[in-house]
Amino acid sequence: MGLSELLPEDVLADVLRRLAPRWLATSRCVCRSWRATVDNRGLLSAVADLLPRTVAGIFLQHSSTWMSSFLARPSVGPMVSADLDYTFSGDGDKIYDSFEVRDHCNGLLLLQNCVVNPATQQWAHLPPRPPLPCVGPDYFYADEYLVYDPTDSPYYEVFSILRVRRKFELSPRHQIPSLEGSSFTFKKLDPALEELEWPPSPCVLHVFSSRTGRWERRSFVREGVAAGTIAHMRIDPYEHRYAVYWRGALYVQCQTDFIMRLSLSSEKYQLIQLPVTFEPDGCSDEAYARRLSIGKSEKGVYSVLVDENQIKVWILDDSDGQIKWVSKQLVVDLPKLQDKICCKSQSHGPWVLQGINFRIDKARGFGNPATEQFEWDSDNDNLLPDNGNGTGYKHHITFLGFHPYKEVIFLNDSSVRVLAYHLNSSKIQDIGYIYPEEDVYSLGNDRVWVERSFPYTPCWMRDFPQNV
Amino acid sequence: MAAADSCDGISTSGGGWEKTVTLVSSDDARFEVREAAASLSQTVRRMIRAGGDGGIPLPKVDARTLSTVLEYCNKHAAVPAPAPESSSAEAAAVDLEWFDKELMHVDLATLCSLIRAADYLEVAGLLDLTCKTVADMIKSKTAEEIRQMFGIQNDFTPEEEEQLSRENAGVFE
Repeated sequence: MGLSELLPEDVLADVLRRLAPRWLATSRCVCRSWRATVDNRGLLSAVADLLPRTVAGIFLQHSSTWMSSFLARPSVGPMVSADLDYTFSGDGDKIYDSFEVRDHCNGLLLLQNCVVNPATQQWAHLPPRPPLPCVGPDYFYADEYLVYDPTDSPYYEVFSILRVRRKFELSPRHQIPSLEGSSFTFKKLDPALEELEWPPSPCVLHVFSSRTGRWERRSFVREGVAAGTIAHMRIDPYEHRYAVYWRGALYVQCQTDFIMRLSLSSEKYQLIQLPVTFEPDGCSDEAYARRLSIGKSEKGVYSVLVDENQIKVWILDDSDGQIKWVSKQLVVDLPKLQDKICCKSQSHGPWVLQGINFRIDKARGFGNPATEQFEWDSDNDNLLPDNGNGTGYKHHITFLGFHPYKEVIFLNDSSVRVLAYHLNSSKIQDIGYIYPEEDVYSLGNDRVWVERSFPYTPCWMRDFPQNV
Repeated sequence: MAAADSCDGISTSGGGWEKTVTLVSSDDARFEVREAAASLSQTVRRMIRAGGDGGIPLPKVDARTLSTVLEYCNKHAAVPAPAPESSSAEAAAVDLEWFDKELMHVDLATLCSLIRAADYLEVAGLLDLTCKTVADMIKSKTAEEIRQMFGIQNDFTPEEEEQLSRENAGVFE
């Protein structure tokens, strides 16, 4: 008896339904009877509904706030709520608990102490982090990034990437809170340590795995040369940078703008230069807004630079074994784009901002804000006319994020509105109003800007890996 | 533990303090098992309730497969007194996990027989364990590797193959 007869259809279906979608798709190609099993039982067709390839909103982290907000796309389908109160464990006054989105990967959010799927409202605590290397107070800090691909595996990982503290003398306005009252002044740096190459090899990272429920040490060996020395990293004044998970590798943008590509299966890493050379030019808000960013979109890993005059986009191409950045030829130049933007800044919508106001409203007993039930067309709604009336207002356009499945970038217009710019057709859509209401922030006269933002694609799969 | 009281025709032994039942495989081998362990099989549990003489016949499971199934059931059925070496619940869980892992160190044909037996006998834990094990073997393999593993002939026409690769392309990348 052949093995295939040993597995009658219903038993085979029992096996196949335990496979992640990617391997289910492979199983469909084995033979006709396997394909029939997958198709007749709808094992794979359900996946498309569970992992929609649409952006359901954008999580935004404003400067000087302890809350992220969510610019939600209207939909007649199930809506995702930014109300993540259920992840708070303390009793106290909940509106004072902080809620900062630190990373997003394929529908999961990384918060301060937990990982949450806002679509299914499932979440799990992260155990306490292992301590940083003990070479001196505040010598290093860590940024954390999520790795999750539900088509591949139900488990997620959190990578803790070590960063070198910047020389904060460069930026007296941007004091690092943890340094206040600390004796560490960067004057007691150990010269021997300062000359060490960075990143080191092997590079030992702390990685949390939801499969084991523990933080583990993972060692990655470098292929190629280092990016510089620890001292060299200190000239970079910027804090947060993005990472991209793509085809089994984590691409982390590092200090002085190189990318660390960690191959998760081979435990090796290599460094990739970005298409524009890093130049430390102080630490102004302007420079921060104009920094080079990376993101994931239709064809993989992209980098983008929005400067005063134009938007430049590159695609990482390693198809022939050589790593290179291919420039995406864009016809846009910013003055023209700004001409198109009508002065709609005060009107809300069509996408709806949830977040602080929503939570405060709830605390006051006002209940959920009314969200309009209509389907927003990502290709055609709220197009800005080709020849909008220039109002003389100087728009300040910065980058917010990539659409992960379409060549569309989200832009931040003067911290007030979000625009979607279609790279191929040059269409521009007005998305919504994002400036938070000041009374709830107690911001005084400080202007807030968007520090981090994450275009969010929901994952409705319910096999969220709770900690064992 | 929640065994039925009426077990007419089913032998009891073990010094009278633990009830056992007799299961009969397709090739007429007889297995005397603690009722608590046998009851992990919903199929057997129903048959115990129904009662009967001369043991419970299981015509779809051969002796070799049944003995592995019962090995699993004996280990997993709650035992009256915890073994002295597993002082904590955590140690017991680790021990059980290790036991499951060892039990799955068998060839694919045996695994498939176990899946069918677990399915027929309705032993949920074993069905889950065996299906997961086979799913893990399929995972990360190409279609051709899966065919070789199971001895399956590729019965697609070239046109169908092209269609399949079109359908798969772009779905997950």
